Amino acid sequence: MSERVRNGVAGAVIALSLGVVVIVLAGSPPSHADRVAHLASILKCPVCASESIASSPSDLARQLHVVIEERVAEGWTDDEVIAFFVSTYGDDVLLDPPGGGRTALLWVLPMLAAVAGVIAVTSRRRRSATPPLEESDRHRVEAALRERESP
Amino acid sequence: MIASLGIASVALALASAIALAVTGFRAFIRGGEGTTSLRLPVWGLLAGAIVAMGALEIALLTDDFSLRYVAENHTRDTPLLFTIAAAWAALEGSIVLWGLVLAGYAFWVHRSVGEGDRIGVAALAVIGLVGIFFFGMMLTAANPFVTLAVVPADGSGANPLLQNHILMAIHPPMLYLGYVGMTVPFAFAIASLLGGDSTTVWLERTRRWTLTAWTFLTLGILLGAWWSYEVLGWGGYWAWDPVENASFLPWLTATAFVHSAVVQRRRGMLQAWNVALVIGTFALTILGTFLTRSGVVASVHSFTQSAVGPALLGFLLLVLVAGFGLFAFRGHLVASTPRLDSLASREGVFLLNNLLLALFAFVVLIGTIYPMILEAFTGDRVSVGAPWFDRAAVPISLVLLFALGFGPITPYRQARPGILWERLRGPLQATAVAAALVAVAGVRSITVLTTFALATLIISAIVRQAHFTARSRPTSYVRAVGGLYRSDPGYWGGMVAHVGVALVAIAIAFSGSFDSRDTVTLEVGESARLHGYTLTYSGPFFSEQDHRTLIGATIVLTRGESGLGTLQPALTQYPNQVQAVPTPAVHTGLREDVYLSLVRIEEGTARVTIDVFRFPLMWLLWLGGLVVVSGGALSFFGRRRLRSEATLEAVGV
Repeated sequence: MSERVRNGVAGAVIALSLGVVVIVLAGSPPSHADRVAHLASILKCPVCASESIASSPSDLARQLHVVIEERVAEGWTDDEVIAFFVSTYGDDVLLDPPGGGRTALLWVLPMLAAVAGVIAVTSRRRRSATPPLEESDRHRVEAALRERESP
Repeated sequence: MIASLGIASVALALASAIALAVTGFRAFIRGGEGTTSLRLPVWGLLAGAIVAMGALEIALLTDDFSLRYVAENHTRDTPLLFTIAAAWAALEGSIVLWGLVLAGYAFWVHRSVGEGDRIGVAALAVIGLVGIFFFGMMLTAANPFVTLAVVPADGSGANPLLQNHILMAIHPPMLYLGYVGMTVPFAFAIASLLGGDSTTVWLERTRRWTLTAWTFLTLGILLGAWWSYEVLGWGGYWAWDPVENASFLPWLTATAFVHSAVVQRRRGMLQAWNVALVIGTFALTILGTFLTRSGVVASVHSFTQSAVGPALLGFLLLVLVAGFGLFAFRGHLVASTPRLDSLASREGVFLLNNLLLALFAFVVLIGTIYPMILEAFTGDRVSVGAPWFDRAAVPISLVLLFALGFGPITPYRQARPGILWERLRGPLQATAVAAALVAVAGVRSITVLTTFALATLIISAIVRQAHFTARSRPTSYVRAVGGLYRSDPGYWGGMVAHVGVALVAIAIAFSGSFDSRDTVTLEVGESARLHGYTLTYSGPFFSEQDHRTLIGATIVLTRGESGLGTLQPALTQYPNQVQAVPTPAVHTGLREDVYLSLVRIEEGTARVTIDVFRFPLMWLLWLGGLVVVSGGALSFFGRRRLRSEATLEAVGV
């Protein structure tokens, strides 16, 4: 097979497969995320160190899971359920702290670090790029390496 | 008697550590001469540490309750294995283990130090300084040999969670071999700063210790996850708990170091960054010890109850100030001059890898300590839990996996797009087809799809590279494949670890996205059908063991016509402990685990309530983890044999 045919086949396989992925994902009905499970996973079990209501095996967590189920069934919104838990048990019931107020830094600092890191890497002073090896030189290097690695 | 022996041996180790620091620095100032004077302190350190550990074990094994540590962590009924493991089940004993491991590493380092080795003696002196702190703690704030005026007839025993599984005996020593091992590259980095040595000698010399520490740390974390899954009964293996994060943080920076060290050895770059990474990694191991051992995690107010917390915090600040202070003043002496030719190169991908791992570590660090700092300064309590960590960890991990896919096949200096395309053409096809297959098979989560596709990219790129490298060899293909590892153990060991990471990533994605939890209540003889499984409660069981009582339910698990066996989730009751400990039962299947955790077993035992979890592909998580560990070990054991060395050996030099 020539290089051109190989490239063509590769492009076709990749495009076709990605097409399948897009069609399957687009065709599937939008997933109705289980609101109860979501709420139970972001609210801390008040008597536990760091476990959520969903993951804690404690009795209180079980009871609170039922409370969430009831409130959702009664038509409460997510925000209303969360506000209810915060007012009852305090701010530390939120396992996913809000992006404002006292926990704003938790969101700002990682972003600043990411930006600083990217700037640090991309702004490294660079030497003028060395020209890529000529094809003939590359073959000579490879031949030399082969020769060296042979027993 | 045992207490006196213990204290005397700790005092010997402390004196030896002081002597090691003094003679080490003196030898350093004299240009590395007089290294024989270090032999006695090193032997003294090792002997003192071994006898101290031995004394503690003897006290435990002989039920010597005159020692407070024994009285608090041991009972007459405790089985042999957990009696031995009780030596590191609590703070004081774990510091003794820490000291023993440190002494072992000091001994190992000493064997590599010869006359005139300035960097080596300075490194030993730094290890001596670290030893002074830990053996000093054993004599003061964390003394395991404190005796009781009134000797109790029996002890109260360790935390039941620590007596429930054999892993408790193995997990902490593995973790400590990793944690403490990071002292060695740290010591050599400080030594090269002190000596103003800008060569890569310290990297070459510490390669084996770094890999040893990294491999044990990886194994320790893996065993911890397994213990959490098998023993704790909440059905998970990772909860972003501060104690878990404490072990994960140095792992992240150590992993970054393992990679950036390659760049420095191959291209002479990133010298200063490597020194900073190593100092940071060591500081994170001290931070981890502080978090796990000071009580600060439970409440910031509990950590001043003993002097251990403030002592560790003080030592951490000392490491940070001294380490980075030295780095600030002398870092320019070790900084390297070669610059990056192009970001599109192996070095560029290594930089990306380091950037991501450092960012990952920073995010985990912030999330772990933020609630404590906020509470300490304002008294406000907030939680930072799994949802917050996941949001940061998932995108960073996905980009890392992507870099893992093409990094190892990217040429150094400058990668032309043509070469990259040639090397990635096959793997990218495999990746796209894999994504299509799992999508058709019913996976709708974009995160899971992406993870699976990237894992395919990683593995297929490695397989392709192995195939073409072997094919280019003049020997037969089979022999060439076998000889790949020996030709470059560092690289191929790393590739094995990469395959393991890919497998772990698949397992995490699938088990986290397609798990389920149901709670069932069953009468004797009753069955419940769940997700195609049938659970039948055939009756309760009791088991009186010498140090605990089990009460549990015998559940027969079937799927369709085939019986999958009997599972016995239980509640374990220890004497002197109020709360019964759930002991889960797991059926491991190729497709998924069925995990039963007993919630309640009622009076008369006619009825039980059980949590039924399903976790897909869990075996792949453990397998992948072991593959990562073996990749580290393979890198360690092999040494790249250069033709010149082989020739020299052949002619008998």
